[in-house]
Amino acid sequence: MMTVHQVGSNVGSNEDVALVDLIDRLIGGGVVISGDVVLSIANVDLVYLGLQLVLAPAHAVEQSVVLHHGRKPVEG
Amino acid sequence: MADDIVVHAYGLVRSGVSLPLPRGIDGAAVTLVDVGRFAALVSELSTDALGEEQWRAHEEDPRWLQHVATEHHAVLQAVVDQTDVLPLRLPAIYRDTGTLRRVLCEQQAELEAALESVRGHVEMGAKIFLVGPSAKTETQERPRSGRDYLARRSAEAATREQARVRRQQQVLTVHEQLAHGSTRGTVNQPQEAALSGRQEPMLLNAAYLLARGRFDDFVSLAEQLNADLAADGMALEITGPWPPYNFAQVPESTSVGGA
Repeated sequence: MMTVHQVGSNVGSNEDVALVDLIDRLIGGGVVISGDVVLSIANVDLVYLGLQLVLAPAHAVEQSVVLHHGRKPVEG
Repeated sequence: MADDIVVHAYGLVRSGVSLPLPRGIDGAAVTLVDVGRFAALVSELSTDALGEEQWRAHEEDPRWLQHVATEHHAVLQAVVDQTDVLPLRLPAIYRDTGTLRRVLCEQQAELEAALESVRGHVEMGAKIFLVGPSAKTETQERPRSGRDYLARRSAEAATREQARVRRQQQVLTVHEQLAHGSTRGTVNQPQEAALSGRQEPMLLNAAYLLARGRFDDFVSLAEQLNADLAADGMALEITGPWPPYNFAQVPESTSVGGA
């Protein structure tokens, strides 16, 4: 059946937002305002590497389960 | 000029909008910094909480980043439910309001254009999962011989390949129809099964820039497409409305390639 996950706060709680969906959007999403930012743009990649690490624990746990079933996750 | 304060910017809204502002990161007040036709949503935060040193110390610290990202998003989500917002990329911290104002002024035209490009729009997410076998069942008869068995195996492999190609075409068609029902569409890398927390393979991970007034039509279209996909063992799921993260781009000159 159709699943609509409403993320709007007027619809329900924000708990419906899957962390993976949020980070999917934050990595590479949003406007970069270059110029006199305190942090230089060069640091941005490290931040997003860090955001991907947010997902790493779940990844590690799930992967062992997946491999146990003899299937590898699709390469990203 | 206070040395112990840093300005964190969440996103941009059009000037003159009146909206109840949510609380920001760590419960800080969110205020508007007006720059011509738009205003930045900002919080003044202690440098001890979110200063440059904190960013450098935590740029690979998952828990810290998750906290900042979630609260940054919560502000944008609360705002997009009321008015158009152009999300800013993390980290977005400035020494003080004056510095932020100057930077925004320098890129006023580009930012106005970027904000204008999401005017009256939200973002919707769509994913297609392979949830089961196709409705067509395979023959249950026992093979009459080894040769018969091998022939059947070969035929089954061909059938599976045909099914895979057909699914690929269906996924493409669904994306085209969702894109047609919205203003813009973009396809992202499918999330790994391990990351999505789902066992089923993800066949589509897309985002659409949708006019607010077309929300109900989009949901109806998605329901219809999902019903079509179900016959072939696929399920469409949509999320939203999101702040338009995937469509927050400054045209040409000032855009920076993503990671």
